[in-house]
Amino acid sequence: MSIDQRLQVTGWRRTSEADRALAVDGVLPGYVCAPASVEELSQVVAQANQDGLGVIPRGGGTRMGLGFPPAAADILVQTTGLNRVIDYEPADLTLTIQAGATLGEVQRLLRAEGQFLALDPPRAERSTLGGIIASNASGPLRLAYGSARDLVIGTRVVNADGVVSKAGGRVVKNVAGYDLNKLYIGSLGTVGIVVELSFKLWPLPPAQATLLAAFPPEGMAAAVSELLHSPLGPLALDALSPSAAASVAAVDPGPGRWLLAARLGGSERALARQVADVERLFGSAGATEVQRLPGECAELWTRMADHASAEGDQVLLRLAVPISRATAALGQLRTLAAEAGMPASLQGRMGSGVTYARLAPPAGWSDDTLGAVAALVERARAWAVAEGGSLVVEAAPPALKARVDVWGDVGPSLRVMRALKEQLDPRGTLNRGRFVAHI
Amino acid sequence: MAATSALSAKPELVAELEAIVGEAGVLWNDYDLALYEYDGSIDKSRPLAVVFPTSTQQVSALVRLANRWNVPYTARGAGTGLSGGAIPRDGGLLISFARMNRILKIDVDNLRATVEPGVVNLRLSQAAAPYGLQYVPDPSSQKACTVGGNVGENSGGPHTLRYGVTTNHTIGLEIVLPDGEVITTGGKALDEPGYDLTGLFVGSEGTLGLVTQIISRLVPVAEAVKTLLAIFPTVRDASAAVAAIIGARIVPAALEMMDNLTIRAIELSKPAGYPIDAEAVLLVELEGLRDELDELADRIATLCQEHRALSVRVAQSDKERAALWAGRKGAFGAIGRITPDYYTVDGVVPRSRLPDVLDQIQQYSREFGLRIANVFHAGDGNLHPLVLFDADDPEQTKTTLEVGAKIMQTCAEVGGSLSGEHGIGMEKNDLMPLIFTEADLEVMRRVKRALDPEERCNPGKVFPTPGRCLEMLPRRGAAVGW
Repeated sequence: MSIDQRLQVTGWRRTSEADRALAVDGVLPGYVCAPASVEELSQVVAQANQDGLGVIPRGGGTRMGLGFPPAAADILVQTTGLNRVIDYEPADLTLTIQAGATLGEVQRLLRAEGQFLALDPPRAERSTLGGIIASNASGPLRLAYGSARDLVIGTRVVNADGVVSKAGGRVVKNVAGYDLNKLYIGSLGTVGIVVELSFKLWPLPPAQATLLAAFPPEGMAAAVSELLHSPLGPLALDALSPSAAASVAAVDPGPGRWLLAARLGGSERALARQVADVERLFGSAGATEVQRLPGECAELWTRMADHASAEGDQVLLRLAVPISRATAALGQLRTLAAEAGMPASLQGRMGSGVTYARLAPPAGWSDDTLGAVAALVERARAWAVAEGGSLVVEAAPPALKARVDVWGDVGPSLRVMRALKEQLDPRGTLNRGRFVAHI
Repeated sequence: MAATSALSAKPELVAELEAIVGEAGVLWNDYDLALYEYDGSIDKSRPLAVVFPTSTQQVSALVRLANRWNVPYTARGAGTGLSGGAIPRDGGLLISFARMNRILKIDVDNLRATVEPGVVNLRLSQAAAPYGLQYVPDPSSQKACTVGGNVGENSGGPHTLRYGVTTNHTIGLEIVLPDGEVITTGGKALDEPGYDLTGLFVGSEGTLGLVTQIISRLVPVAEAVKTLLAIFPTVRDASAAVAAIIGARIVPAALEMMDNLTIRAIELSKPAGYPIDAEAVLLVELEGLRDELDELADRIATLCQEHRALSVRVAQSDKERAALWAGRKGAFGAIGRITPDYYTVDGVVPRSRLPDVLDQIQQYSREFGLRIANVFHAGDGNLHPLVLFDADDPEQTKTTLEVGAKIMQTCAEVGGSLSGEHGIGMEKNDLMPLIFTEADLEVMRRVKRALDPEERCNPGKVFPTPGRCLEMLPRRGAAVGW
């Protein structure tokens, strides 16, 4: 008896070549379905687990390039049918919602109440909450509001055996039981498929403005450090290389320079003070030009967030270091890319020490360009690790994934991670092979 | 039984312990052990021995020794915990981190601190202060409690409304695993690939391993602080004012409330100038840039007045600010003066349900004939009802615990939680089914099994006692005064 005769799940069908767009790193799943309820999803997972099949969850499909190519791709589960608001009480500043809802629709819902979910990952409009959480995607606003681990207060997941369980709750302060929210965030769905999330919300800042400043590297490092040690509290602080600045802000900071974008927000009075102080601070740190943009600058910041993602067969590297080394990390990426002959668009979350490099070989992928980028990855990673950080290949063509470890060595902690996976998904049902060390 | 054989062989065990931590690093006579059989909660259990390691290597050796001897072990910071997290429930070794109390680095450039677990919370902020930085989580016990204990319990404090709790500020750990191996998780850099073990360990109440080093965030000290105190005729009015403040897109650093019984207790001990017929006092603290605070304070004062505040005072100086806080900070002590004992309950409810839940708590008070005072973090819905009773009266003690469980049930019914910051420990482990299904708990058990399959690491905590269904009356030995 084949699996499709037993399952009554919405949208269940065998895939065909017409479904190429659903392939994960070139691997086309055998079946696809779009559960209309948590119960349906639970049934699929339970059956797959029993039959030793591999399940790959998919939300908005915006970050499917993360991780190793799947070791099993029997069933692709589309979660976008699970998008119901469970509970939204504005006075509580909390939201409980199914994980297949997109961040775009959530922000519209919340905005009507003067609130927002303080996550601004790339491709926010189409990204589902579940996908954002599973991939721990973040954006420029993480400086002020933190990342998923600071905003998720409850999760409901379908476990590998199909059983539905929850962790945390719907209240903002909660220490009852293990904080499994943290385990699920960034786990790429390997220990449970997130089906419902509770979030802590923030009120929208009453007033906002953005400052753009062009800097030579030393000046930028000094400006960043001074601003981060001040009580001015910027919402976001991103640095862009000239090519990134051109595409994100249509600004040319000049060769060898960086464009530093500071997003400021607060009450009207606080904002006036921030703008004045940051302008002065940038000027005295050697900014060659400072541009003041009033208001939320929503489109600019959406492009800023989107820039940290890969188009087509581009490579996206994420290199994280302690914050004081962020400017050095950008310089390192610039140098290594130049040496590899690889045009690179670079971006740094200066308050978080997280930098991104978007790479694309000018004449497409060949054995030579793959080799050059693989060598670049190894060198950049060695540098990052020596700085106390890490490098993750967030997106790459499968041919490059065959040559590099996309996650890097996680060290002695791997034993614990394996033990967790063994306990929570002993049969490797969920996203088999895609996470660190092919867990 | 393993524990018994270990007991009879005690001198040999002690000799082995001394070989690891030195003679001055072990306590094992009955007199000394009696001092370590309790923490800030009401339970008691005596360890076989108390050890005071001074290094990660020693902690690792102690864990390996406990495994060889098949005895459990429990970590202890300052013993200020309120849910029995540091009580060696099944005996065994009590591993005190009192001598691992070095601040290893204040890394100003990276806004990070690296500390040993025995560092007292307040000391860390004091060490960061000369650089204009602070460590944010500020539990009321911050003068005594340790950062390691805070990590174990995921402690909060009044200022966490805006800045988050311990887990939000903990980004790296060194951990001695239950097999004695040492790992590091996270670090000064963010976004380490792999499962977020740091996040999983924070708040795990010392049941997954022993934390031996902590990397925390430091943040710039706010430029200015403004404190307001508003007095309300009813708790409902004060709660409406809280909702209005949040609705006005203002997130204060702290939003604390006290009810009439607390107000009267304060006025009887160290008067703070609250009218004794007021039903609620709301304390609001704003942090930010000095340019904005006057205006924000005015707006909050107006919102309070619109919600029938009888009076609103804004502190004009540090001295006045301290005076406004004095009542809140002295609240527990003041309650202690009007009752032989009190039981501190920790629960969380959605902010919008506060007035209903407080009404319900007053109904329990009438129904069970016990006075209940309320001091709580109104901004995040974290309640701390204090049930007043006499521990020498066994019947009253039993009723008190019953009221505590009833309050937990109410919190659960409105979608809240059993604990906002004190932990589950051995106080509420049998109440866990109020908010978690068997399936939920089973996932947590699997996590425990992944790390501590032999269950020697702080056993008897967090999880409901096997074989027990939901027990509304928490199991207790003889209650002690506290």
